[in-house]
Amino acid sequence: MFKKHKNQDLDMSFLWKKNPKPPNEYVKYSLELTSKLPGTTTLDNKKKLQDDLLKYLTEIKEILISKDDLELTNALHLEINKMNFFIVLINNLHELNLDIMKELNTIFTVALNYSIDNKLVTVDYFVLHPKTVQLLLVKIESILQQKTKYSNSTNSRNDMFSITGKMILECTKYEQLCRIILIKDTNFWKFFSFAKMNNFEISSLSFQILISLFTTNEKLVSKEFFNIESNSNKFIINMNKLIAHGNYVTKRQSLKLLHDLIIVKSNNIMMSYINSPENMKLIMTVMTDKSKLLQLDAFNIFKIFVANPRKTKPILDILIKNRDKLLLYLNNFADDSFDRMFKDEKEFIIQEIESLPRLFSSTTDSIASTTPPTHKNSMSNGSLNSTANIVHTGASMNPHKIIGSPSSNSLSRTYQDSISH
Amino acid sequence: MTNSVFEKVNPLTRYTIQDCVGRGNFGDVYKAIDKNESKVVAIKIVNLENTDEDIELLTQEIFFLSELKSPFITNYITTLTEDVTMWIVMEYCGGGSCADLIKMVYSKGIPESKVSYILRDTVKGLKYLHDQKKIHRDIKAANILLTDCGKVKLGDFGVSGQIRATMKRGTFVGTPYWMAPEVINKQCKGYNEKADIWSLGITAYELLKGVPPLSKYDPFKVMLNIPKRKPPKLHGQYSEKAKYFVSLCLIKDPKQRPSIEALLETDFLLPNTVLNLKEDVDLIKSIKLKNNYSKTPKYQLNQKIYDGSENIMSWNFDVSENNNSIQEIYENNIQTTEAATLQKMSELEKSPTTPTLDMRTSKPSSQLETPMTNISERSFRRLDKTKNNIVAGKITNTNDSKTSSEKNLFDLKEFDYLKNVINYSFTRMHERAKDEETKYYVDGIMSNFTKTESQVPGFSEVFIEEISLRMTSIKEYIASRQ
Repeated sequence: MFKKHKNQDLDMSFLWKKNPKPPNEYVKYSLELTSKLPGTTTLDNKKKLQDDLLKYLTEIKEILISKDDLELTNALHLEINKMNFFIVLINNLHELNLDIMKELNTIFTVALNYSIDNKLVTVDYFVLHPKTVQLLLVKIESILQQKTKYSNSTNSRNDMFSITGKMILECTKYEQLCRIILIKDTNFWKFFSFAKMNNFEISSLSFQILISLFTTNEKLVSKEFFNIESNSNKFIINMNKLIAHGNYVTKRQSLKLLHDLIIVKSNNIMMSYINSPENMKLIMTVMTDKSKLLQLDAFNIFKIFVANPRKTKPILDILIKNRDKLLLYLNNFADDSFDRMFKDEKEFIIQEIESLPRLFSSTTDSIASTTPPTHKNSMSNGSLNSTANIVHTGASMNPHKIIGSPSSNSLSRTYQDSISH
Repeated sequence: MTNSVFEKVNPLTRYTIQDCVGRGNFGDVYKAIDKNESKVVAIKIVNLENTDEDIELLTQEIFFLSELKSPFITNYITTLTEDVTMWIVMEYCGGGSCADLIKMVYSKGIPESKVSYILRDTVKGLKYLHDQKKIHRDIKAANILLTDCGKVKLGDFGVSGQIRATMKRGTFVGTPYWMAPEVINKQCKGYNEKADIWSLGITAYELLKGVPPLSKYDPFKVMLNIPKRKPPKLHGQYSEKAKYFVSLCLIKDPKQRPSIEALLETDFLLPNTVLNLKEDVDLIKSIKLKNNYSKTPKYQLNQKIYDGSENIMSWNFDVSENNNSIQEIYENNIQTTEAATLQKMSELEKSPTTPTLDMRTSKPSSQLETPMTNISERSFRRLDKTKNNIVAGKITNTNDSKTSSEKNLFDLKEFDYLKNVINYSFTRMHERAKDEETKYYVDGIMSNFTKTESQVPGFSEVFIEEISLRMTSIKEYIASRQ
């Protein structure tokens, strides 16, 4: 026969009739029940408390969603903030079961969305009292660090992580709360580590939070986050780590997020990103990955390096050194694509690379002026370098030529934008 | 126990894949055995390299799926990644679907009392989904599944539904007989959970008659006609209760159509004498067995992208003072501090139990001293010190760079003997092989091992255990003679 499920036979209204509590005190009663949970040791008693708590939370949720009684709805919202409802429940998360946590998540979502006269009441409250948001960020890490499951917990770590993560995800939708997470706190950097974890649910939710943090509130991210150089640098380092070490899913998502963020003009991170040879090496390495889709994602970033009319010397060095290999690679790259725009871009990138000086190995020691060895080491170290002879292949060294190229309008516009900025 | 946060669970070692039980555009569904918990599961394997589906949408759908838990639906268990595929592990329903039940047992329609039983639990499953603000979008007999003991579960929702709803090419997947008019009607933007009620009505018709209404017509024409026509009616020798139930679900205006709660109250769904469909399920199973019923998967499982071979190309990065290999580029991107935090966290996780076989004592080079190497001289390169730097320089290099990570590897709870010993060694043998023929044989044995391990879990472990026991005793014997 079936195991009895919590959602089955939910209609226990007789319990309510026996001992009816006024709805405006539901918040108070839920908190009382919650505070009793840690001290309750027998499973039966705990189950009873949890069942009651679930019913109160379901009732609160229904009232908040239906808004039938506006006065009551307002009163409950007020109560929730006044009594630190979320803080108490989040602190006792390991004492709740999945159904209770789901109701908590829903109440949290509804509360954040709650507004009077166009003012987000709960969000404003959280801005004044950032403890709730901060607690979520601390809590989510401690869930992962806990050694074993809490002995009396009815919860799995995955479920707790998932609920806490979803509550954080909800916060990222509001600019003011996003500010607390991104600007006023540093705990969010940990999501980069979580996104590398082996557990799929944890890594994908963590990445989802990162996507939302960096793409939902564009203005905040560009004006208050990326405007600080150390933030941009740390961000790129962390993204590179995900690209290098994430699982296949994380790699694909990271490349896409990175691409989407560097092409946003106001973020102002494109130039510092594309001037670094380390970044380009990583992207070129992913281009040789066996996954065709990863190659394509990487190409979409690589083309920004190549189309840059003011490539730095280290970048030019790598491109020149790999000129023939790149041409070979690109000529075979995604040959079956029918995407017109992609074909144009590829054609343009091939032209750009063809226009690079060709490197010949010869006995003469002369090195053309375009790539003067700035490092002593490169003279003595790379045998290719020291005997290199660079031959110009046409008058295409003018870096500004690309702007006129019709097939690359969109690409070069990206540059002009970011350069003039 | 759910899988641990820090360990990579290799789906290929945790699950033994059996028959392919379903095929889809985005992936195949397999019956598999969860070796840790020795239970049967269904695994939908989505090949991400072969689908246009947005990964972000897919993962969001999995978040949602992971929260659904009810005895009336096929529950989500976990998701794993392997190579370029995503393995979505779900509860398995061994009894097949109600479409099988029609096809194999009741081609003229299922008896009313049994239909009532099936629909009652389907409605409970659907009520659960609707309570969670979720629309199934694809209710039909083929998606109502039966467990081994003849219970009913609603299946194939979530991931597939979402994928279909966001199909980029704008083509409909499947047949439109079950679609609600407002779903087909393009003027009507969006639809709600009432669409499921309509499909439920069509499904009731299908269960009772054996086919959905208008099934003899071309699906495309049907699709154009559903919004224009009067709703289908159940004619024939059925009870008034059944006819009323169908007509209730098939009200064209979604606002007039009853909610799922209201349907639970209808007379047709009142409990009757049917307690389960165990006998029918047993019958289906025996028929399937007789006909050797299994499907050919659309994608081959053993076609891996990351098979351990090199990347498609290598660049020349030694332009500056750093002679960067790919390995170093990757390594440069690990910040030591954060790696240390992760390391610390994973130490918390470590189990005190060590693998039965202590791998740390056996050095990779120890096999050189064994008499075996000499025998193999004809077809394999000898891995001796003089040749190391020329022929096997790459091999020694990779060993060096791996040592640190291997230390961690061997402390893990589940040591993967197939991957870390068998496949590792055969990959090395492959590299040492002088000619293509030898490589061919090496690869043949390697894939045989993989196949055997999937059939006989633990095979590799025992094999290695035996080899090392034998080698130890030979070494002891030699030592005693000297």
